[in-house]
Amino acid sequence: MSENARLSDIARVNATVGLFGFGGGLTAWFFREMVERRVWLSYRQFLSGLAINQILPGPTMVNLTVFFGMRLCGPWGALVAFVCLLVPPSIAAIAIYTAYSHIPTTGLVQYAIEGVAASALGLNAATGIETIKRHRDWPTLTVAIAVFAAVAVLHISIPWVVLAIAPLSFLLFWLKGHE
Amino acid sequence: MNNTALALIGVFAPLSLVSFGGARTIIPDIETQAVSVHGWLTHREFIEMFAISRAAPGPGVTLVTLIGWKAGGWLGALVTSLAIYVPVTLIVIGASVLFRRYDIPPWSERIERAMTPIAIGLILAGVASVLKLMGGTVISYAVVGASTAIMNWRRINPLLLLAGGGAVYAVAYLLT
Repeated sequence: MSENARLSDIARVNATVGLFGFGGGLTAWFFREMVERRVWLSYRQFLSGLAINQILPGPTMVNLTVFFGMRLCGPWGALVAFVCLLVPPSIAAIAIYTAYSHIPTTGLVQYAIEGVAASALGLNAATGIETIKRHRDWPTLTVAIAVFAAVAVLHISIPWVVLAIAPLSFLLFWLKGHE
Repeated sequence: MNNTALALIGVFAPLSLVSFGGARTIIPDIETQAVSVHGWLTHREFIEMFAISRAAPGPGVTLVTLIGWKAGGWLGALVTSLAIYVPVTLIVIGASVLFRRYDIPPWSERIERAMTPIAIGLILAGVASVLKLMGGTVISYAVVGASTAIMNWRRINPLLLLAGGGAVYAVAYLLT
């Protein structure tokens, strides 16, 4: 299954996705590279990794690449995947921000960047609303509203909210299963 | 190791462990800690960094790297990135060793069901907190609302959407 995955290939795939992947949808790109093009993994193996990584904290794409880097080439595979995926875009972001701060801050530039931020908020909101539409049941709505209220209205710190509400959420879905 | 570096670790390492769904789920706490509590950034700078992290390549977590860089230079960027990535990465490596057999564990779906609404609530709370930072202007609500509606209607290229938001604001500025 993994004999054909070399460290240099893992480095190349991750550097490409990290530096040329914009605005989400990167999981699909990893799927194309690892399953369809390079045949490092079967469809089933990829899906199993995805299922596990979606329930772990952290960005799914970063989790996935570390998970499979470890699986295919051991600790070095995980390290190479991690570094090649994250270092180039991190340096790029710092470079872009530095370049931006050197632009004379006219009202126009400040306004335009706020417009970009507003659209980015729309991207986030759309993900949330899309997910609600996919699971239209009472536990999903109850938990989502409770978390929103705790964080946005009561300003409770997120680690506490997650620790308190996660068990309640399990309970609600268990109850729903027994309806 | 200076005090800023320690403060950055203290803020971001715990958030790493609860970021179910990536950076966008921990925006409210990032904002509170970086802007109000520690004063590493102004409101404006937070909005700018948020915009750049979404328009630049790579995961949205680059926002955290940018904050570290602003707060403590290159050391700050390095320390903050390690704080936000390493705790989850160790868990992922553990999971990779543990689930050698490539089965989909039967309980994974149940966990996903229970954690998904938490991620939804956190993402929407993040949208609300940055909107508030923007000062509740009519144009901010209009552009956020329109972008949300467009993405729900048809998944267009996100970069196109971001450019569109910037263009609408620029036109509004020139007209007023």
